[in-house]
Amino acid sequence: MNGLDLLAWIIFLMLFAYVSKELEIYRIIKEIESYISLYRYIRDKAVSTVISSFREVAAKVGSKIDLRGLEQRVSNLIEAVLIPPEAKDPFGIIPKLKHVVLTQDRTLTMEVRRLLPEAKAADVENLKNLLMAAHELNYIYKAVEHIYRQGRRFKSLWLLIQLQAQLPFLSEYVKALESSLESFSNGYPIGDSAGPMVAALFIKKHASADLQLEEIAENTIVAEVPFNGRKVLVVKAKGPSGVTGRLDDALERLIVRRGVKPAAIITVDAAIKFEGEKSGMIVDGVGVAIGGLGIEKFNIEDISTKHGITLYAVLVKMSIPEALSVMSKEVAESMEAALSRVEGIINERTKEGDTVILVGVGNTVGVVP
Amino acid sequence: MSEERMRELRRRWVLLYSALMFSIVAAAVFFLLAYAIDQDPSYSYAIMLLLLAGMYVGMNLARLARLRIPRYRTVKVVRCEKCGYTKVEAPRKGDYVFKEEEACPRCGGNMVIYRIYREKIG
Repeated sequence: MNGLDLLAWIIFLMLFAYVSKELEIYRIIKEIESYISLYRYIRDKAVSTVISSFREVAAKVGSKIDLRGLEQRVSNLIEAVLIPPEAKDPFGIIPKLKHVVLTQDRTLTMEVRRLLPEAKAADVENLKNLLMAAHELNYIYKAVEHIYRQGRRFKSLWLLIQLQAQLPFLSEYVKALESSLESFSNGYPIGDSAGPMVAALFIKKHASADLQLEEIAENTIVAEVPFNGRKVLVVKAKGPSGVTGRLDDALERLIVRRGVKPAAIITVDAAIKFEGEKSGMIVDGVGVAIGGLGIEKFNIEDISTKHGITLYAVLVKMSIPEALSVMSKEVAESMEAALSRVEGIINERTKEGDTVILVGVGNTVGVVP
Repeated sequence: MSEERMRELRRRWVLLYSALMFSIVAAAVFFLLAYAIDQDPSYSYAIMLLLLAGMYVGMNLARLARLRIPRYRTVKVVRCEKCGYTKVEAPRKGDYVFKEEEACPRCGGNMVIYRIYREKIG
């Protein structure tokens, strides 16, 4: 091999390495682009679902709605941001966070009411949920597109690889949010409604004919149900609108203001399953089973610690898409098992004459009471 | 919703890859015949390249064929509280669990929506 051949080989190898890297970047870019196109499609669908739901509710209550104004308003609401409180000094952050979240909720209610003053409360809550889902989808689409554009601009293979690696997991969440559009626009129960459904089943099965339901906190009801010599106070969000209620406020009113001394608080909630687990699997444990930002979890833990109340939890396992889409058959069929687990805990771990608080945690869309 | 979009995309890509595959096979047959007649080794290189392209297209076609896009239907289970008579049907907008429906056709008892769920149909 002479010097010229060697040089040709070296150039060929360098060219091969360069081309293979460029091809790899091209392949990753094309894959990310296909995900982004899907996210954009889902975001646009979500926005049109929100607008058509507003129009349907307007037609139902017989009010007129300015379509252009509605589109502009929906677009503004979808772009709106929630600025979390400053966390450099985290002491006392939970009340601040709760204040910001409640302000957001009230603002959203006001905005929906301004567009549809005659709409029923259930419709308002479902429209709010649709808006929140569209807001989340819009944010994910924009965030992914932002990282993708940065990766392309700086030709950063590593940034693109990191984004590509996360996209399958993000897609699960996007699909879940997309499925939630069907549930909220129709008012059907979702996987996350498992907790309120178990609470509703308990009321339905054990309550006497003269059952009294009291709205103890905003969108939150309590029902006193006798069960095997115990008094069970069932707390859940008020259905069938898509609300999660103010469970921490309800418990604060029962335990702190009214002086109820429960032997145990049992929370029932949906929980994310591991890949190998079956949907609808029931597990129990100790602690407070509540997801979200942690505000209600913190407050309930705080109350129960101060008053020395035992905390039990029953979890209904499901995947992320199942939690937000219309309740799956597997989860729906596990409701009886979850109910009997709750009954078992009350029977085995409390005594006759005790008071027990059963909390159905989650969005109660499509489930009464 | 996005399932429809995915189905549409799959259909489009299957068509494109199938057309490509057909062209590759036709070209490969042509070069194979040319090689058999002329015994020119340059045709064998073309066949090799076409084989590689065919493998790439075939792998993508197989991946698309393996891609399962699930179909779902939402149903409501309505049950009579008196006799247990049950019927399964498509829910209406605004239906909710424990909503009272029309009287039981068997015993005239109270029928309520017992469950609303989504099941896979394919």
